[in-house]
Amino acid sequence: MQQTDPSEPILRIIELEKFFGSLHVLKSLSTTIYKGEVVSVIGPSGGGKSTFIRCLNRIEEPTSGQIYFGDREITDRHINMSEIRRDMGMVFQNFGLFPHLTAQENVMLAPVKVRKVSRREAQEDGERLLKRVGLEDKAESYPDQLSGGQQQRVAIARALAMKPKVLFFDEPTSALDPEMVREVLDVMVGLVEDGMTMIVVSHEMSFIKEASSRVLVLVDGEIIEDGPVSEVMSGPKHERTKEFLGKLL
Amino acid sequence: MSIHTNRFTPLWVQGLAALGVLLIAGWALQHYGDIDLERIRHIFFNMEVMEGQWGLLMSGLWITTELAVVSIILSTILGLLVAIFRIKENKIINVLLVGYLEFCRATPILVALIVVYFGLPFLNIRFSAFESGVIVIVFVHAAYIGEAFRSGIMAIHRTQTEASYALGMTPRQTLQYILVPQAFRMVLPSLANQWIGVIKDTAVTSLLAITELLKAAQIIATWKANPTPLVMSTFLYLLILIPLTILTMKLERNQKLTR
Repeated sequence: MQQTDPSEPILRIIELEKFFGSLHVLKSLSTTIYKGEVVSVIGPSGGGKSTFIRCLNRIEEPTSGQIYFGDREITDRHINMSEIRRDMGMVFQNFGLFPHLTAQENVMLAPVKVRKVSRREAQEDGERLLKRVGLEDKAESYPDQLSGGQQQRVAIARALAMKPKVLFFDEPTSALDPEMVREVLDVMVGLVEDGMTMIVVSHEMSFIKEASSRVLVLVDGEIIEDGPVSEVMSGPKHERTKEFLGKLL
Repeated sequence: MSIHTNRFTPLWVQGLAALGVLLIAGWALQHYGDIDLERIRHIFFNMEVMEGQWGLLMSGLWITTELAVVSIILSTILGLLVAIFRIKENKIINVLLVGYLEFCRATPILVALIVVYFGLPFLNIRFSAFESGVIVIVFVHAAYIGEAFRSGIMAIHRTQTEASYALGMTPRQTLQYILVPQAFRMVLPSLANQWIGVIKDTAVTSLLAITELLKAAQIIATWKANPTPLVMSTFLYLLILIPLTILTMKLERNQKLTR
């Protein structure tokens, strides 16, 4: 596993706030994600985990606060987010594959249209990525011909095709049947071994323990715990963390 | 998509219904009109009347087809643009477009046609009969087609847009590669219905100086003092419309199975 590099922050999040109407969903969150880190975000549902990760690429618009991606402030109103998002991959709970395109086309679309790579190169890259997630024989299948686990693996290949600097996973296994969870987690663990920087909202204890380097515990819109996995798991500081971990185990 | 399912009735039921209507009509004619079948044939299906007249009727059919094809293409494109502007949710544009839609709903197409062809020349704006027909048909049908497209785009799950944005695609690319292709598939059955409406509406141009199918039939009917050409023209309309109707039903059935 690649060492994390404290000299190279990928994401700096400063006093991030999010309101939905009068509902205060994120309360002044601050943290820094370094290159090579795998950060699991856990906590009870409704605690703001998904909102948090969705604010990081501004699929959800933060109410206030700053986010720096590398040295660029992406919360700047005038920044071109489409350009920033090329370097951030995202994997959704409900896969979000494009149903009118084959697996291969799903993977190729953004590299061709956004990165402007040649179709040929995108094709080769797509085949390589589908092979990597174990779906080289499903390249011509449409999403509705694939199982949930297969769809999610295509979605991961699609995100990787843009060669992102960081990958966000928003509950990637929550919509899957139990027997399909493993195949997706295996792919994710493979990415960790390659040194990909990842932020993962997940309830999968096995992944959190085996693969992540750090855990953020988000309760009622606040980070109540932020530290290495072993620390948070063995000696949680906060009562709510103990309560939550107790329910999970 | 359950919106379209009610409209689907099996072909054989439709056939039976049509046959039933014909039988009742025939019975009514026999019963009340004191009309024998030979007379009916002589009045409505008189092939001697049609002798030497098919050429004019066919040239009318050709003009109707031209009108229909041009109008279908343009109204579909304009409708798509209307839908795209509608979903941008710009308040001013939306008010204008809703006004446009209500205007089209409230105005009989015949009235619009008369205004364009006979009214606009007073402003020194002149369109040929063909152009006037296309303008009015496209203007009116684009409103409805726009609403169909809009409902299609709105029905696409939000995750599709989010997934597209997350890949770095711009709003325009998202529309072009993700939303419109999916919406097109979704609304194809109602689109085909709208296209049938366009074809039927080309008949209003018979009012103008344009010899499309209905006008051609009227000319022959007047000249021969026999309505057979009109009956023949309805058969020719059917000739165009039946394949489209079958296509629509197939699309609807297909959609019912796959969605």
